[in-house]
Amino acid sequence: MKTAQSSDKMNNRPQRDNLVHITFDPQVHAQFSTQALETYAFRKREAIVIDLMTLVAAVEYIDRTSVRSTVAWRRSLNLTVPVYELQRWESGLVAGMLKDTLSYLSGDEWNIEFVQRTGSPPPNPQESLSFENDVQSVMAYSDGLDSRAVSGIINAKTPGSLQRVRVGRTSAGVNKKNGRLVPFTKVPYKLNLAGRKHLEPSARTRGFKFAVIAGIAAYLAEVSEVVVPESGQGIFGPALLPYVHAYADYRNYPLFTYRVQNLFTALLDHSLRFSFPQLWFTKAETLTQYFEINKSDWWKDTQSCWQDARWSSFKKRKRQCGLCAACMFRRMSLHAANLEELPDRFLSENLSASTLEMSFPDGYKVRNGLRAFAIAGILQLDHLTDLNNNHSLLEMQSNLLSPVIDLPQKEVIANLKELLIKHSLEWDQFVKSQGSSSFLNQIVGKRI
Amino acid sequence: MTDGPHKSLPMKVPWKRVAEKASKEAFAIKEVAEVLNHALISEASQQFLSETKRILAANMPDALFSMRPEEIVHEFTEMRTKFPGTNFENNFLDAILGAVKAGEPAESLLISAGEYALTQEAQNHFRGIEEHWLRKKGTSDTDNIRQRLKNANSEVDYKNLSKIIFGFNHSKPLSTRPAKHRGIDEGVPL
Repeated sequence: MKTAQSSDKMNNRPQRDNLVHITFDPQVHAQFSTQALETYAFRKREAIVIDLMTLVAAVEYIDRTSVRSTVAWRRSLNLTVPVYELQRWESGLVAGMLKDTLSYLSGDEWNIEFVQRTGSPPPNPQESLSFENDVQSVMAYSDGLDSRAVSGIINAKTPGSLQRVRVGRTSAGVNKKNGRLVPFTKVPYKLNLAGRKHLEPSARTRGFKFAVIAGIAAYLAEVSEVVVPESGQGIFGPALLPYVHAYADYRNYPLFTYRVQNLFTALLDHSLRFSFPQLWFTKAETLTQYFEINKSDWWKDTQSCWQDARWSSFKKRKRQCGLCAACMFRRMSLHAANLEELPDRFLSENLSASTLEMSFPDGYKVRNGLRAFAIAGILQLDHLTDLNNNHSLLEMQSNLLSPVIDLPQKEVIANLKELLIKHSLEWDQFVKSQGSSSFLNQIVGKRI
Repeated sequence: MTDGPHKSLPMKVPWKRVAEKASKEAFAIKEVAEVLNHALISEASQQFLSETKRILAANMPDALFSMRPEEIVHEFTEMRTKFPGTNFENNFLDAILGAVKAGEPAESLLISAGEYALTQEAQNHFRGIEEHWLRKKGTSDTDNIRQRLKNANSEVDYKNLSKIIFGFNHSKPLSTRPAKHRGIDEGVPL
């Protein structure tokens, strides 16, 4: 029987054939936090659940540390993972589903070998943590606009029925409430990436991490439903609008979560169901729905920009860049929802400026590449308006989605077309609102 | 002075030719369409095409559907794990899996799936060319190249192109390089 061996190679940049091999060591490549694991302390936290968390960490580790070639997307990722319940992982059904799920999501060739893990798993809790209310569903919660709005909408309809599962980089901050441990307030591990100069920025397996961590929470809470808070544009845009050799982004796409559902059934005999309550709504509609319930400033301190403080600060204060796809999507959606955000929350304060450079505050040095970044962000929203003309794509995707989301194909395509029309209107109005001489209008003006 | 943004276009050579010809008015739309045909053909890997044909046994009419549809679905589902990461192959498999379930005959199944994947591939590259042109040349030139790519695209017979890549169109040999126009009589078309 094979046992786990530590592999501490620090350079996993793929060779010419894009081949990488990592033997994942949970003690070396990641740190599992006892404190965070306590928030997963349920009766059903068996060894297989610890194995599943280890797999998620290993998958994220090899994905982040294996930089893609500039000319080819696909990597051949060979991963060895130590597990306690080896027999269950070696089942042909589980192995096949895992490979299919990861290949579909990341666009890589995955070869995962499981080996027997030595030692003992953390003891199975004798008693479960308890929930304050009658939990009926869980949600991977990032504390962004969508997750705040959708959890708010659900809680307004059925108070206490939704359990948040924190998946962002930081913890929820509050681990205890009324002296009791709050479940799922932190991802139970942190990768050891110190000393690595290059990390793969695409990080497509984040989708796997979020879906599986939320699935684990559903399994432990003994519920089926996992709510995906993303709105329609965020689900369909990245999946249906790939650029050149960059592989489509399926992290919130029902055809990906359907695969995760099947994996959970095969591995844990647990029936998961990912639901998409905002699938046919734009982000602006989602924000409006919740704003009608809660008129406070709940949305104002959320962040959408993915740039870190090194690249996105002014006068020692972190701001959102205001130009990347996420920022542009946020700005358009807030505009359509009639919610006004202060310009100084963004580096690019003034989208009505006649040049991109003039949109920044005086004294800010615009770095190289920002223009390219802005163009990419603007075009992503703009190209989404073209999708309604791509009939074969809509026909095909609605055909594939229909059985997965349990809607007749005709209904899927009608809903999708309506969503795209709503997006086009929001985008059109947003661009026009910046004025005819704005750089934004100059970039897309003739297309509208 | 540079040779034009197509030189720095982060795409394979056949697509640089498409961008170059689409950006220069001296080239007729038919010439853009010609290089576009070749760029699209170059996207389909021979290994992938052979594997799909093997699964459907498309060159053996007597053996059509010798496998049960469930087996075909299973084999094509497995193909996604063997050939991941390219949008052409991904779209092709989406199309073929949808059509196998609908019970389409093997040859038309391959042709329609190929047609779909090639059509989407063109759009993926057009978006990339547009983005590159906006960065390098600004709005006016980009509007022009976008329109010319659209016109060239309407000249492409995607169904026929799909037949060519699968070897169903025997009148046209498969070539990944466009014909060169060297004769003096082959100057700029009027």
